[in-house]
Amino acid sequence: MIMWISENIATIIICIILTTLVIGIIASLIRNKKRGKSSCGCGCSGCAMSNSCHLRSHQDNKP
Amino acid sequence: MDDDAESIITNERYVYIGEIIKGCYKKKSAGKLSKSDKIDRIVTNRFLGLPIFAVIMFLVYYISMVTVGTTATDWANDELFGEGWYLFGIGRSEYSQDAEKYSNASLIVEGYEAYIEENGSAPTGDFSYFVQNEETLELIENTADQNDYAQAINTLKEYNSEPDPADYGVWVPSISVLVGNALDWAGAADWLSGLIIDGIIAGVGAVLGFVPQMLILFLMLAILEACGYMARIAFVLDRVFRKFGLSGKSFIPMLIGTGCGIPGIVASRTIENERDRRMTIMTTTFIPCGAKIPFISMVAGAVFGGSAWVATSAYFIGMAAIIISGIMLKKTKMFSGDPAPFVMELPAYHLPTAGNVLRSMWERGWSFIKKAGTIILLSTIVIWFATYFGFTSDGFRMLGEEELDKSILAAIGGAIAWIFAPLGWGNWQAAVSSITGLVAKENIVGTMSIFYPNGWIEIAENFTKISGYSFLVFNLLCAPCFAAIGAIKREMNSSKWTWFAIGYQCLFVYGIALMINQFGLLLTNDLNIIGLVAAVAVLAFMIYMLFKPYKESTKLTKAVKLTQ
Repeated sequence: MIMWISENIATIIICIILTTLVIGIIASLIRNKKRGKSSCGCGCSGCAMSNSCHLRSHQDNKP
Repeated sequence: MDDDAESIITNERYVYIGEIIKGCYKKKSAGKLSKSDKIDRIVTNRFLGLPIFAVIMFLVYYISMVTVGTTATDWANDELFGEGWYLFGIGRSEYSQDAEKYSNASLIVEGYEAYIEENGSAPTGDFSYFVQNEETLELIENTADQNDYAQAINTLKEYNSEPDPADYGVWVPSISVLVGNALDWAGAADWLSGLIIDGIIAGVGAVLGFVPQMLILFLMLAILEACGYMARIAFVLDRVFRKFGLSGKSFIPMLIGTGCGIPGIVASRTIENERDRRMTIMTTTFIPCGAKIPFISMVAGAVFGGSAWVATSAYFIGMAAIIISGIMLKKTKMFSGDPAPFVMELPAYHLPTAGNVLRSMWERGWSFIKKAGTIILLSTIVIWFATYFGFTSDGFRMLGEEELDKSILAAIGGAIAWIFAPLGWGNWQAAVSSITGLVAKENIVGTMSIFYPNGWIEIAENFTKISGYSFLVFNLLCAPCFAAIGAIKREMNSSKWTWFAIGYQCLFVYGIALMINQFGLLLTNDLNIIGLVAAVAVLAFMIYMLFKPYKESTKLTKAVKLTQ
């Protein structure tokens, strides 16, 4: 067993890193879904007026 | 006069407001046209408006897809994620010269040997050899004489073997080469190297390779939006859309849909009329969103030699699909009725601020990059596993590149590929790519690059121009990604309407792709009678629906209870 592990140590470490990465991605997708964010990554940035709308109201609210 | 009642009422309101203001406000330049008004007289002209819009969109796609964008994307695809590159270009020209010299000499010797094989003796005079055009993949016949052959032999002897790019200038290996070397050094298993290099890096790299083109496209669209021109397009298209039963308000979701279909679908909430809103939701995703750009670029680059017309046509095919669907659906009972009135104030033209434009470009680009690092990465792992593992006579095992037709995906794709055969691309690779595109449209590129490890040349070998265009149109207009389908369900608030929308999109595009392929085959004299009959039937049905007189009920047929 120890022999097998020592022969495949690189593969095992890379697999662990990859699995952690995959779990992290799935967790972030689930978290985003719960927060109501779309998995497609678009939000306000996907809107053509993303930087132009509400500017006036923000400025008006400034002291 | 082709103005409708709502437009006349709106106009009268503005006239009334104008009359009140006239009495209390003195204009400095009264009676004179402002700069914006002068520009609008040309840009929103009823005859010039649409051609100007077409030219501007062509320029946007030409600059982003063909000129600046292609250079950057070629570098990312072929060098950063491909073989490697020369730092600051040092050594590139020397290598190119030597590589060309060696390649020409090899082709002449191949031609000489082919002549011997064909005729049984060495040529005494001229003989022909073939050179493949890298872009069009066309084989060009050239002629060489005995002197050329002698020179070619000397050249091959001089170089001994094919020139290695690493021997010239400052050579930087690509990401896949660097990672491959690191995995070899660490002693990782072959399957793991395959997963990382042929799966993750090939798939995610293929998608990320299009980032430069997308950033330039987003920058140009942001400039058009910020300077006020996009608002004019809504105005110009309102007249066209109204004729076909859609409101100009429907253009706003479509405009937003160029970034991403989901906010586009959500933006349809501004349409008060329920029937118009449903129709807009159903047709908004026909416009190519940002996620479809890599796939459009891939087909345009691999099958059409990087033609800007293909990318531009994708935009106009989306618009034509919306208009045709608008006309056809309005003729049905479910959608009949007048379109909602559309009133919008046109902002004065102004120079866009660099900060706004760059921020808009970066936000859209960054969401694309994030998506490549999450959902696309997960998809490439699953696709790689299902492509490189399968059941053979030795049981379930990893497959070599020549055995991919025994993979899990080949079995699944083979079972559904017949559906797409009348569209011209009935192979399992194209069928599976279309299905994986439902997860995210960028996946089509990621999946294709796993299936075709030799890149665009291999893709071009598997598609003709006709089947390539049919494949492009199908994936452009068919059901959107799952996230967008979810948005359709939320906005429709009904499973029945969601399925109707998805079903309509798929059936509609199947008919369009069928016509493209069958009529294309007819033009190239390679027709299939059954397919052609089906395509003619689809065309006849569409023409009938387009020209069928529009009947709106003018009589009340429902019983109404009168109360006193």
